[in-house]
Amino acid sequence: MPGPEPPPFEILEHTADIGLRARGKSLEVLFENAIWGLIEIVGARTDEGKNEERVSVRLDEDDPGAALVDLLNEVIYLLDLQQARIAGLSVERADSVIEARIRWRPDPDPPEGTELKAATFHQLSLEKRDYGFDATVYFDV
Amino acid sequence: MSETAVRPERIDAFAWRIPVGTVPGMRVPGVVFATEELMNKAVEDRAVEQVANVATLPGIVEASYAMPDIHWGYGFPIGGVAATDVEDGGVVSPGGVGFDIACGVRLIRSDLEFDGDVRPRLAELVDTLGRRVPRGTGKGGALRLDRRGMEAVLRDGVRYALSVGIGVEEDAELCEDGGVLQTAAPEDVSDRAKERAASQLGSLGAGNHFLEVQAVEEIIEPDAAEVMGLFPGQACVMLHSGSRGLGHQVCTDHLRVVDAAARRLGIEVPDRQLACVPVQEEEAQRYLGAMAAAANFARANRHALTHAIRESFQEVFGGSAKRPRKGSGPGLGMSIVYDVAHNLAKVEEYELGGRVRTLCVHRKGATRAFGPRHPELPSRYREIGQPVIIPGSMGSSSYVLVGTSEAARKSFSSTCHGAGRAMSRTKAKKVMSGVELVRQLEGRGIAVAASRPGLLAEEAPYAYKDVSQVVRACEGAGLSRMVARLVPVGVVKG
Repeated sequence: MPGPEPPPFEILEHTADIGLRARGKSLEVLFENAIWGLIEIVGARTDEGKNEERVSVRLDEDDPGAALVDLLNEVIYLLDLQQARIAGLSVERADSVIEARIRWRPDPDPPEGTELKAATFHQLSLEKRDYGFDATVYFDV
Repeated sequence: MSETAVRPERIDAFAWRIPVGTVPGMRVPGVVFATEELMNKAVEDRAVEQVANVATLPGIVEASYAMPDIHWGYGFPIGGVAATDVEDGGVVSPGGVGFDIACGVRLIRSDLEFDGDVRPRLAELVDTLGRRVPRGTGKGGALRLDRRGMEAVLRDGVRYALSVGIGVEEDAELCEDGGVLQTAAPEDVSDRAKERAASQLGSLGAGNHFLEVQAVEEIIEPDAAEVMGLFPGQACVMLHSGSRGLGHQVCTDHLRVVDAAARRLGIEVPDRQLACVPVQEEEAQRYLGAMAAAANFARANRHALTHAIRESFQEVFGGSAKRPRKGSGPGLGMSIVYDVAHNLAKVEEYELGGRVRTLCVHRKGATRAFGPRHPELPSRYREIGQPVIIPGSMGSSSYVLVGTSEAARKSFSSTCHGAGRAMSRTKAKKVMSGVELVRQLEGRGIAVAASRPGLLAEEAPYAYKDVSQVVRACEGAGLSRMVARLVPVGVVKG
C-alpha cells in the first residue's frame, strides 16, 4: 500500500531565520504549495479577496529553483506594498513562464505572523521525486 | 553544507582557527573569536561551516572572520567579516551584506535621571513612544516621500532629514560617515524598491527591531563614558532599525544580477547565497552604489525615528529635547551618542604585507570599530575610539563599547553586533507565550508596548546568547573595550 500523502508544505527551523519545504505532484502545484507555506509563515491568509494580481517569473529548465525564489519574492513584494491578505491562488505554466494568479484584499493591520524580508538562495533545492517535486527554500526574517 | 560538524582548532582563549582545506576551495583560514562555550554553540548550529564557506570567496585576504555572537545565517554566518582585495580580483557579495542593508543601532543620551525623572512617568512615556513611533510589518512611516524626496534621501541620507528640519546639525557628525555615504547611486535603485519605501521613512519595522528606554547601570571606563556624555543612572534610548522594504528589494534585485554575472564569469561558491562578482565589474559597482543609497535610507530612517523619540520625550517631560538641561533654559539634553550599521560592505584601506591595500570589507552582523586617532572618527571621539552600540535582548543588558587600534590587524576593525540568537523562533514561542513574556517583563519593572504581543516570544531574552559573555569575549580578543552597561526599562516593539 502506498504511504500517506506527504504534507503540501512544512516549516523548517533555523536559528535566526525560517525555512520551508514544499511538495507537489507537478511544478505548478509545488509552486502553489510553496506560496501557501509562505502565507502561513507570514499569517496573511484570509477568506475573501476581490482584488486579483498576476505575477509571472521566467522558468529556466536548468534552474527551476531560481524561478521559485523569484516567485516567492514577488509575493513578498505584494504583501509588503499592499499589506495584502491572500484569499486564493493558482499557478500556471506556459512554456518558460510561471504565472501566479492571486486573489487578495488589503488590510491596514499587520498580520499576526513572522515578517519575511526575502526568499534566499541559501540551501535552495528543487528536485524531482517519485511523487512529483520537492523544494527547500530559506527566508531572511 | 555537509552534515559533519566542523571543529576549529584553538589559537588562544578567545580565538579559534578553521584550517584551509576544511571545505574545498578555501583560500584563507577561518578565524572565530569566541570563548569555548560560545564556540560550542557556533559548532552546534553549523555557523562554523559558513565561516569556512566564506573563505572561498575570490580575493579574500587574511582570514574569514567571525565575531563572538556568531550564529547560522543564510550564506554568510551572522557575525561574519570578510575583506577582499579590490585591486587583486576581490569580490563583493550582496549576501555578505544581507537584505536589511545598513541595519544598525543608534544610542540617544539624555540629561534625565531614570530614578528621579523617568521612573514616575515610565508607563506614560512608553505609551507615548508606542503611539508616536510607527512600527510593525509594512507599516507607514512618519514621512511620505514623493519621487524627488526619495531621490534626495537616497543621495543625502541624514543630510536630507536635516534639510527638512529633522534634527540638529551636530546629529550628522555623530553618525557613521557623517550620516551619508557619498558613493550612493539612486539611479541603481529600482522603481520597485523606491515604491516599497515611499511610505516607510521613519518606521521601526518588525522582527528584532525595537526601541528601548534604558538606564545606565554601570560605567566601566569612566574617561570614555564622560566623552560620550554617559553617567550612572542616566536615561537613554537605544534604537535598532534598518532600510525597511527598500533595502530588502535592493538586495533581491542585485543578487539576481550578481548571481548571473558570477555564472558568466565562472565563479563557483559553496552556497549560492554567496554569489559574488569582482568589485571592478560593472555589476559590482552598480550593487555598491545601490547599497550605499539603501544605507543612506537606513540612516535617514533612524533619524526620523529619533525625531519621533525626541517629540515623545518633549510631550511627556516638557522643555526642549535638544537643549541641555543645565544650559540657558529647560531642556532634556537628548543628543546622539553614535549611530553605526552592522550590515554593510565598505571600501577601506588597511596595511597588509607592508603596503596599504584597498579592501572591500563585508560586515554581516558585525560592527565597524575604529580605534583611537582613526581619521574617519568625529573629532570628539578621536582620542577614545569609535563608539560601538551593542543591543542585548529585551530584558537583558546592552553595552556601549569603543573600538581598538589592535582590531585593525585582528578583524579589519570589526567587533560583535549583539547577543546573537541561540534558539529558533519556533522553539522560543514554545517556551512561553508572548503574553506571559510581557507579564514577566512587567513584573521586573520593564514597561512594554508591543503591537503584536503574540510574536514577542520570538525575541525573548532566552532566545539569545548571554550578551555580557559576548562583549567580554570581544574585549578578551582585543576587538573592542567595554565602556558602559545599560539595562532596559521600557521596550517598544513592532
